[in-house]
Amino acid sequence: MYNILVCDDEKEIVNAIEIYLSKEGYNIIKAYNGKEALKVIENNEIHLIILDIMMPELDGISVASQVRKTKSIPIIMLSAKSEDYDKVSGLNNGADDYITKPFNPIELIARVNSQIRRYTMLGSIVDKESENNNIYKTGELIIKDDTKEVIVEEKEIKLTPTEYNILKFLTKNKGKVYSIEQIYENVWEDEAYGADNIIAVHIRHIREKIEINPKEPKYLKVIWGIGYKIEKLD
Amino acid sequence: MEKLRNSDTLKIISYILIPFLVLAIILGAIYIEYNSYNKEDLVKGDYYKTDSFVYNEYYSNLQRIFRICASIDEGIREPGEYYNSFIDTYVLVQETPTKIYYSQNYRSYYNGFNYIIIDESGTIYTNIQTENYNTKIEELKNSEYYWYKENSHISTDFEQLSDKGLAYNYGIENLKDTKNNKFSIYTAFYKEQSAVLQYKVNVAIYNFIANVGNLPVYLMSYSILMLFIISIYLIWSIGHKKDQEGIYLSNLDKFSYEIIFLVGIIVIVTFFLIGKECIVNANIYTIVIGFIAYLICYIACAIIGITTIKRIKARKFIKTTLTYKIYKCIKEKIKEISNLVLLDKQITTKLIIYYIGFLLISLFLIITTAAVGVCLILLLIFWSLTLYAILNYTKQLNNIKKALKCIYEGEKDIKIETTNLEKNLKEMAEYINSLSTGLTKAVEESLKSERMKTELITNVSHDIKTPLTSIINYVDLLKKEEIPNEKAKEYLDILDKKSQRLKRLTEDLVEASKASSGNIKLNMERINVKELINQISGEYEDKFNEKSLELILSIPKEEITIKADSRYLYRVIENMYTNIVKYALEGSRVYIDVLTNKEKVEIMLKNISKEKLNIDAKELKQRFVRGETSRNTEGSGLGLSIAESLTELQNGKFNIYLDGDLFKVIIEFKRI
Repeated sequence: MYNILVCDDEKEIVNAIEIYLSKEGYNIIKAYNGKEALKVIENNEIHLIILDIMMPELDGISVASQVRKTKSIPIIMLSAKSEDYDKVSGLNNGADDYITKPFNPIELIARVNSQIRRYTMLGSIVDKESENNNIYKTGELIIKDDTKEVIVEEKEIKLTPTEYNILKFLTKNKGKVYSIEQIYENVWEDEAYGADNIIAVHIRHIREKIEINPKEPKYLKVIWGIGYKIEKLD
Repeated sequence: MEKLRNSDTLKIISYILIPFLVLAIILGAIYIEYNSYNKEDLVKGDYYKTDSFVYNEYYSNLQRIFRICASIDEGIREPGEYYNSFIDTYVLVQETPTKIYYSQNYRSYYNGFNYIIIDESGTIYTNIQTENYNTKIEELKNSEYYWYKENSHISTDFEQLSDKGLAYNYGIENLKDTKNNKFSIYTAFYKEQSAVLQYKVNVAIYNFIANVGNLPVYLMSYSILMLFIISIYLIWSIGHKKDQEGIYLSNLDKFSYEIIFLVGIIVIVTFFLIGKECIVNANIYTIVIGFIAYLICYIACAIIGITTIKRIKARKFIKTTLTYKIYKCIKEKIKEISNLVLLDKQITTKLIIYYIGFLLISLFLIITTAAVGVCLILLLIFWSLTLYAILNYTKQLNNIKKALKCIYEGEKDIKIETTNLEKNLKEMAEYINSLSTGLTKAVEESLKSERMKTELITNVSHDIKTPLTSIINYVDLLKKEEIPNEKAKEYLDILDKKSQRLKRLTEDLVEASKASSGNIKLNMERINVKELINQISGEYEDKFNEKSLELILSIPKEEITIKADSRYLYRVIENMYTNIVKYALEGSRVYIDVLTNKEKVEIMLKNISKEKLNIDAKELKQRFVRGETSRNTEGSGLGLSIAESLTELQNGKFNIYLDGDLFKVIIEFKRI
């Protein structure tokens, strides 16, 4: 049973989150401003904090930086502020993830699961395995080429052979940007004649399968007008 | 009547006719002159028998012969080239077996005049080169126009030059008495040899007159009448033009009259003289040149005439003269100066007082310098001080000018140091300072208000988002509850849709406000258009399939790159794709073309609208405006406005064209 602190000055939002996360089997502790949140953290064993930014008494950013001084509890910021600037300042001040309001409950749950897993996983078998040549990984995306398995955040993903080949190629060369033509030439080992948007369609399908929010991908990034890449997350 | 007046053709015909008429009149006059003086000649029917030829040409050549005879006595006997002052020409004397003295007297030769002189010793003086002079003499004696003297006896077919004639016409009583007596002289005129055009022209005129009778007189009279009518017509019609009220004045007609007149006269006189010279020294080339010269004369005359008439008709003759302009200019200057003196008394009186003071002190010092030498130094010091004062004043003035330039160039917070300035300049500087402060304030305020507007929208959207989050979440929770009522489920669906739309609307609102106020940081980089279109097309394939839209892409094979911000350019194109999915007629085709040349790249998206587009393209780009009937569907109505603003921020052009149900967007960027 993991304890999750949800802190927002809107009681209704806190209650809604409680309903969603309780269903997933988490124990919810509620707080309605920054000071309360800090008190709760003092007195309880907390495994994850969901924090609003704009709150009375003490704002979320201050709470996050305060917590970071002593603890490594994962923090997910949940804010109406959606500017790039806000996200960057949130992440720089100790947040591990940033979700904007109004949020999609399913996405919230997925991100909470992801953070809890990371926080509670002690050591990793995967790390040892990755030394093997036939395993490619970035962050929590693991491709086992021997068994043609793709695992994202401990869940096995079903991909078509083409999708698998594209993902494998990009993960093998993580961090590098490849254009549609280059991907075509490398995966099909053929001239990229009339490749057009077939690759783009495959990539979207892959994204929909491996990403929590395909519009804000974590692993398979789109650089518009240039190409695609798998983010290097180690 | 008006048509007649405005007709260009008629005017051009008139201008062309005038020189011919003038020519006809001149010819007529010449005819009348010939007719009056040479009536008798006309009867004889041969120009070379007329008095004018015999007296003017033949006799003058004879006189040369007499002079040559006289010069022979002076003893030019040695071979060589001599200048003979009597006949004003060089004479080449040749030693030949028979002692022939050949005179290269070209003029008389090319006039067609030939001579042979033989003295008692049988020595020959001649301008003809031939083998056998005896035969030549016989030939001369038997030619058509001849004159010879053999043994003191004159034979000629010119009555005027016979013994009697010479005595009567020139007072030469007896050639026997003169030195010429020793010589036999043979002369003849060959009209075929004559190369001088004057003769030919004379012959032509002569023949013409003999043939035509009184025709030239009539021609002249008609010409005069015609010229008169044309002149009247031109005076009446010059300056009138089709579709033009009143008198039309060209730039030339506004130019100073005196200058045009003077230049015109110079041109006319010069070319007239050139023409005259050419016609007199006639051969076929000079005639052409002469003709052109006269033509230029005529054109100059015409230009002066036309502009004069136009100016008079427009009642601007005096106003366009240089004299008047100078007069006016001087008058205005005087007025200006007097205005200055009268209006701004403060500055000008001060200046005048300073100037008078300067003059008086200088004068005093100059006068005393004559008496006391030291005063020269004082004078120099005084002048230096004055110069320093003037330079100092100019420096202050320059500082003010610099400050004004800075303000003009948009710099803010310009302050001129006023403490050391002269009183008038100080006042000026203070005005400028307060102007600058006001300007700075205004600019700051407008920037602030723009910033505040964006901030306000952002803040409001935050405040909306918080309650919206609750609405969306609880609607979602409610949907998961067991609701037995079908109607309630339907209502819940509506709530769900509308809350989602509200969410999108707030997001778009912030973006639109930022994009239109330029409050966005751009990261410009090279973008491959082909890649971008393929990527987005891939993203939207499923959505297109859902609506049975057939996407037809046409992208050139070559590499096409532009400079733009990857994310925001994606936003622009994505907006367009979303629009197509929302508003295109289901089952229709969508065309996306990338057009390019060396300079620019155009991305053209075409689709058929589902609804009637009863709105124009310009309106459609404005915020919150959508096709009337699509108002009730999803979308915020900000899409096009955001796309346009973002495109323009990235230095592109965004245009919409509507043609019936065809909706076309062209996004244009510079190619790199």
